[in-house]
Formats: sequence, structure tokens, C-alpha cells
Amino acid sequence: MTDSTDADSTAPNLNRRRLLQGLAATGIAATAGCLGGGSDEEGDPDEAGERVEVDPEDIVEGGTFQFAISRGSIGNYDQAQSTQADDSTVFSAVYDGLRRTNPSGEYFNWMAQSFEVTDAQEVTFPDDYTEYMAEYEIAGVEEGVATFDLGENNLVIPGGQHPDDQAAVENGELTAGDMMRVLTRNEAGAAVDDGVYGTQVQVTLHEGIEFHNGEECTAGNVVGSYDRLVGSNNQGQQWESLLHARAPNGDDGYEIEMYAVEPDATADVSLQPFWIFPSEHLDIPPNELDPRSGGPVPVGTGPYEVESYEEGRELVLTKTDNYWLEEVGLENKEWWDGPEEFPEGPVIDEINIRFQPENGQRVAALQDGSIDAAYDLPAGDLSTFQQSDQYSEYRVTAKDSTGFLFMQMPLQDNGGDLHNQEVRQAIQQMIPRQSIVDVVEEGWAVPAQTPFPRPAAGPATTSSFEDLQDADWAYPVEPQPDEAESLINDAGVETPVDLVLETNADDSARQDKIELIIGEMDSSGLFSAELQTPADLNPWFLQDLVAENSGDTYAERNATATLGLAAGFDPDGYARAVHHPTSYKGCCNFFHPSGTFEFEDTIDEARFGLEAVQDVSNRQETYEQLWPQITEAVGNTFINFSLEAVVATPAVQGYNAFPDRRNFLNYSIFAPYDGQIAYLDR
Amino acid sequence: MSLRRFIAQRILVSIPVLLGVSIITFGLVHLAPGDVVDIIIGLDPNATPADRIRLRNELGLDRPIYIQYIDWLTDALQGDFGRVYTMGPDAGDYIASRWPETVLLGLFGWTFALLIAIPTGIYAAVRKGKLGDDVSRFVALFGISIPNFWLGLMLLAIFAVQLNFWSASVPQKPLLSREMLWWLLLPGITIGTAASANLMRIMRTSMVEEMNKEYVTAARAKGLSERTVILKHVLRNSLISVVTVAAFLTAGIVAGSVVVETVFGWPGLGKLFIDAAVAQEINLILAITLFTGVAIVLANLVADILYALLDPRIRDEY
Repeated sequence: MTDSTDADSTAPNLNRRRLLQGLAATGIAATAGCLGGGSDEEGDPDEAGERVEVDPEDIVEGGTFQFAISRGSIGNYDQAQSTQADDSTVFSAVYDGLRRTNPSGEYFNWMAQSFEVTDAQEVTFPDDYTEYMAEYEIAGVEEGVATFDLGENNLVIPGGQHPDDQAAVENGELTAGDMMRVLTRNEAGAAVDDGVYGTQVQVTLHEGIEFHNGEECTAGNVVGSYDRLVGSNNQGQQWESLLHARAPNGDDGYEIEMYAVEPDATADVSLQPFWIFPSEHLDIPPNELDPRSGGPVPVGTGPYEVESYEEGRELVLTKTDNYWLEEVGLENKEWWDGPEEFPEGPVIDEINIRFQPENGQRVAALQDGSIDAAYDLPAGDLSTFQQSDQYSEYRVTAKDSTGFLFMQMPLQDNGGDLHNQEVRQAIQQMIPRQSIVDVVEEGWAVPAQTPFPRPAAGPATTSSFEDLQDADWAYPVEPQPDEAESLINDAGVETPVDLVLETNADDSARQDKIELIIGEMDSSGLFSAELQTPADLNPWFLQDLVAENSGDTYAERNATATLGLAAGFDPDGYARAVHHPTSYKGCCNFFHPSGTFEFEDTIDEARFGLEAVQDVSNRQETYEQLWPQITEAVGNTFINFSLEAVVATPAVQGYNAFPDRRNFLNYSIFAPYDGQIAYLDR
Repeated sequence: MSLRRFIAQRILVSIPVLLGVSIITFGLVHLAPGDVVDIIIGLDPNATPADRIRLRNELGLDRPIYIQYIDWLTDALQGDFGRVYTMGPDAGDYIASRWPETVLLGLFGWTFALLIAIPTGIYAAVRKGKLGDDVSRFVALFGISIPNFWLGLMLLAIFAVQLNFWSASVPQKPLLSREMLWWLLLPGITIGTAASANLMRIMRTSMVEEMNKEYVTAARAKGLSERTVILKHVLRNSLISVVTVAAFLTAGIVAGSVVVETVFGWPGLGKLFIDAAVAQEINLILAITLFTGVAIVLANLVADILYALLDPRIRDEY
């Protein structure tokens, strides 16, 4: 751990801090990139956020889209197993889902002709399910968690342990070899039969949807696809709320019913299977749905199919000749009100995935035109493409993303000052969010004024996101030393308050941001803050953050932890991941056990409350109560939100970025519900 | 000693070396905090402690480290290098698909290094103390000092972006096609530059030493031309030390491939090693380390054989 404060170790930090502060003071928001010519003009990331529209009459059909991903190869062709976002970027063009979303987080029925939450009822999980639980032999116990060998396609529904037996496991009365009552997938159907469930979703598929292999996609494919997630690395995510799925009219029918364990306001999104597989792939063992292991290539119902691949070198996707939407017709989608001439599928014939993990190579490849588009580029290069006359024909397109940087503070009363709410509030007031975005991110980020980003705003408020940013409880974008001083005086602590601001050692941009915070804090005279970088992200996470009593040790040292995370289009992801005790000692609530915050129940109510499910305005109102409580308590404070940006060469027309990079090929190339289509004009 | 017996003896000596490499690598990877499970679900907000435990048990990471090593070694001896947990194929599949790229890049680097180093080293030795010698030594120092990632990026910026002579992206052509071999010139130069500079310095020093020996004076006294003295007598004897260093530099080229393959997006083992290290994929790290270990051992074996061919007295020392 780095805890040295000697002159030698602090001098470089001071210099770096002064440089950063100097940049902030002079308002330098952009510098030239390393390979381009650059110019003296400032970049304008706002311009990159402007959407380009396509006139359908201008569309040119055909061509090969050279698209670079920032990895050396596909991590895993088996999407049930893959946990890498870049894999999903590629294969979201191959697999279609039941619903799709636009950049604002609105959902549209896609392969689903209809998708409705048809029932929600008050039920307590797991208590109301105990009579459906069966006894299984415990295979092992570790850290108070029992594991089982349940056989193929079965799993314990997360949280489905009998409360009495779980208590017995935790106090050591039940161990390996003993029997324990749990609710598994095998018993979940019986509970549903008796009407015990929280939410019911009914889905009807469009008829005639075909996989690339010609098989018709029916209810059996949808229900069977969950099996491939059992035992996978994504199991926990898929079954976060899912209880049971069935095909009421048989596998050959088009109707699917999905059930959640509790009333769940996110059920209309979270219950659907992540990926829908053809029948011949349903029984393929994990990781064997990968051509590099001698298995088949992925086959979906998406607009593109896998044409060829060479490990680490190329992956070619070609437009399928039996795309279902062309059969169904846009006019049969309830959301369609666009022009007749709008294509019913993507117009680009081929997507050539280029594997280019090195930033410099991706930039050079964009500049020499050997690729058409790339993402995950450093802020300096984005600014270069945005500003330079040499690249004036290039387009940088960016969207507010679902990634965020936050600072977590321990509340434990252990001799430090951070258990004092006014001290935490004073820290929150001293974060120079705008300078952080301007100097470190060169404008390619958004200062956090709310504890969730713009893409999650839909269910998060009855008003607009802009209104929330102006609320009196919103995070300030500029430091407020007077406000901070007043809070510190109210707290009655001695000044300067010694603080340790920790982050991971393998992220220099993150360290620069903390240096800017420290600069503001120290210059106010209220704090004496120090940056510490104990280790790279994973070791730090394991050794320090999720260690037992980490809250106590951090509180004793007046230490905070700053790290990044990404959630989705739902505000629950932001509130739950970093504030709720269900994330305690996992990811990413390190210091706040159950009972820390009064608003824990409000977080649950906003997602699992029956009223929230029945009417979205109830949900929005609940969140409106929650946000001020979160910003006032300051268990965490958000610093900035990320942007997802893509640079496209002049050959690419109509391309617009998306808040989540996993949709850079499926949304950005063809999303008629949003009038989105891209084409090539060389 | 016969050449065949000499080679067999060298191969036998390399077995404990490779075993030691695998033990050290296995131990070092396990000493690092965390494991592949933390990579898979470490920062997934939806992952529960139960998911972590289930995965760790499923992957066999809950067993004692020596059991894990013995299991790995037993499987590896049968050609099974184990699963790559965060990726699809097994480690062996990756090695099989990626090694030709790395070997080809290494050969390009070697060829470039030898083509530059030997003539320049001879020239510098012959012109010792003169301007040509000074210039070549300065260039060599520059070549050793320059970081290969920077050199690679500069070559891309100049030859691909500014001059448009090369493509910044790997051509999608067969490995041994004309387009691909042409494209490999830039990464080959990048990876071979440091080795070339090192070899040139050794070549020069060795030549200078040999040229001061009595047999050279005798050869000159016999009236042989300077060209014959240098190329027929001095060069052959000087090559022994070059071969020695060249074998050592194989390790440098292998290490350089990690950076150069990443900069140029070349799908070889070096780039794969980065992915494996980041993901803490121990089976893949071990397989690549073992493969490169074998390559380095083979390079040293070739060097030993060349010694024996260049100077038969060496064979008798074993």
C-alpha cells in the first residue's frame, strides 16, 4: 500500500496537480492529439452529440463496413458465456432480441409482436415460496453460502434459500452432506401454477421469424435459451429477478410467459433472455459454441450472419437473405410511422470486424482509411478528429453513456471524521466536476449533477433530466468553498480535515481527477487531502475494498474510494449497485451494510413495490423522494458520467453513437423505431 | 562426441529448464491477488457472493495449488493445456492458431537484424576509429535506446498515415501471401531494430578483437588480400560470439513481440499474452510461456549446433 508522505513521493504529485490546476484555471478544454495535425480551435463534444438524420432517398446500398473493436480477438463466441462488452457489440448484429431500445432508454417491441406486463401481485420472496422448496444435499459451504450439484439446467433461484435453513448454514448447523430446502428452477413452475409469483409478462412472437439456418423461431427457442445461461458466467444477471418462463401453447407456439419472483418494475426488460438460440444450439455445452474449438458459428435471427472468421485476424458478417423484418414488414410494427421508402433491414452488405486493441493503430487506421469506424479512443484523439481541418470530413459521434465515476465514503463511527454527515457533504461540495471533465476528459464526459445519468432518466423522474440538474439537492459542478466551510463549521471538526482519497493504480486519468479534487480541497484550507493508489483495480478491490471490516479501516483513516462502474438504462442499477446492502461486499458497495441508510427501503420500493410496477408515475415519484436523500446522505458522491464516442470516416453516412457500446452495430446500423440507419458512400 | 549425441544431451538438459519455467510461472500467477473469477464477475453489479463461490468451485480454483499444478502438468503432457475461462477455445487451440504469426514475425525480425548487423558490424570494425565507425555506433545506440512501441507508432504514422505506403490495418490475406509479407516489413523492422543494434555492436567488437590476433597478421604477411583476410578468416571466428548473443536475443525478440504485435494488431502469441495476463488466464499464460520457453531453448540449441559447426573443438568440450 502506498502511504508514504515523504517529500520525494509527493513532489511529482504536487507538480502534476499544479499543472492540472493550471490547465483548469486557464480553461484549456482540449489539446491536440498525438498523430493528427490538430488546430488551435477548441473541440466541441456537444457537436458530437448532435444526431445526424438520413434522407431515405440518399441511401446507398451495399459495401463492406470496416469496423474496429478495441480487443485482440473475440473473447468468446458463445454469448451465453461471454462477459465481454466488445463481444456483445459484434454479436448483437447476429442475434436479435424480443425488445430493443433507443438512446433515451425507451423500449420497442422487436421480435415480440406484443410484450406486456399482465399481472403483478404482492408476494414476499422467499418466504411465500417456502412450501415449493425441495430438499437438496449441500455440496459445500463457503462464506455462509451453500452450493449444490443440481444437475443439468437447474439452479437455485438467487435468494431462494429457506430462511431457517439459510440461518442454519450461516451459523454452521448445516454443512456439506446435509439437506437444505431451496427453490430451484425445477420447483419454480409449481409455484407459478399455484399463482405464486410477483410479476407476469406475456409475450407473443411474430410468426415467421427465421434463424439464419432456416429454422423458425418459436416459443420453444425463447424458453430453451434460458437453459444455456444456467451455470454460465452470466447466470447471476439473467436470474436477478427471473422465476420461471414457459410456452403456454407449446414449443411450436408463439406465446411466452415470464415470471419474476417479486413485483418488479423492470420486468418488461430484465426477464427476457439475453440471447435467443436455434434448437440445434440449445444443447451445446458451455464454451463449445465457438468455431475456434471446433464448434459451430453463432446463429441468430439478427440481420447479419457469420460468414467467415480467422482467430485474431478477421470476422466477417454478411447480411442474411432471410431477415425476418423484411417478411413481417415495418408497417406491421405498432411503433412505425416513418416513410414508405425506409429500408426494412440494414443496407450495408458486409461488416468486417477488425481487431485493433492499440489506440495508436486504430487512430492510424482511421486516418489512412483502412477502417471505417472505431470506438474507445482517447479524449485527445477524439478532439483531434473533431477539431482538425485535416479531418473535417470525419465525424465524431458521442452519446451520454451509462458509465460513471463515483467516490464512496465509509460511515462507520471509528474515530475518523467521515461518519459526520456535514464533513461528507463538505467533500461533495468541493469536487470540481466541470474542471475534471474539461481538463482530464477534454470535454468528452459529463459532470455528474445527479446520482444517475441521462439515459436512465425515463423512470427516474416525472420531470426532465435538466430540471433535476437544477434541483437544490443536485451536485454542484463547480467547487463551493463557502458552502463547504459552513458545513465544516456546523460539524465542529478541526480544520484542516485530513483525508485520503484512494483509487486504483492502473488508471492515470482517474488519478488526475483526484489530483484536481485535492487541489481544490487543499486550497480551501478546510482539508488536507492526499492521493493514494494502493494497487491495480482488481487487487485493490479484493485486498482492500471487499475485505472484512474495510468500512472500519477506511473510516479510521478518513479514506474514500473512487472507482468507475457502468449500469444500464434503469435508475435501479445506479441506486442499488453502490448504495444498497444487497451489493455490500460484492460489487460495488464496500462500506455500507444493512441499516446504514434510511432510504434502503425506498430503493426496493422503487423497483419491487407493487405500486411502482402498476404505474410508472408512482415509480418516478418514489425516485424523486430518493435522489435528495442519496445526495444528502453522501454515502457515495458521483463525479462524472462517461460518453460513448465513435469516430467514422467520410465514407460512413448516418452513423450515430449509442449510450452503450454493445449497440454500436445493431442500433447504429439499423434501428427503424428511431429512424436510425447508416450506409456507406465511398 | 558425435553431433547427434551432442544434440540429444542438449535436449535432455532443457527438460528441467522447461519444468522450472512452468513451476515459476504457475507460482507467480497464483501469487497475484485475485483470480480469473474476479475478472469474470469482479465488477458485475449483479453478481452475488454465491456466484463467486460457485464459479470458483466449478473451475477447480478451490483446490490446493500443488494439486492444480500437478493436474495441469499431467494434462499438458498429454497435449491438453486446459480451458481458457473468459474466452471460448482451450489454451492449446489458441497456441495452434497463433504460433505461425509470431514465428513469422520473429523470422522477419531476425532477418532484418542479421541483414543490418553483420555488414554494418564488419564495416565499423574495418573502419575502426573513423567517421563511419562513429556513425554506426551512434545509430546502434539509438537503435538500442528507442522503445519499440514508439518506433512502431512512428513507422505507422509516417509510412501508413503520411506516405500511404502501408496500411495501418493488417491485410486480410493468407499468412504467406505477397501482400502479407510486404506488410510485415514494418513490424519486422520494429521488432528487429534493437536486436540489430545489439548484434552490430557485438559483431564490431568481435571483429576488432579477431583482427588484432596473430593469425590475422600472419595472413596479411602471407600477402592475402584484405578482403580475403576479413571475409574468410576473421569473419568466421567473429561469428561465434555473434551466434552466442543472437541466441540470447531470441528472448528479446519474443518479449518484443508482446508490444509490437499489440501496436500493429498482429494476431500472434505476444498480443494474446497481454489478453491472458489481464484476464489472469493461468492456463493460457502457462501455455504461451511454455511455448516461448521451448522456442528459446530451441534457439539456444541451434546456437550450440552452430558453434559446433563453426568450431568443432566446442563439441569435444561437452
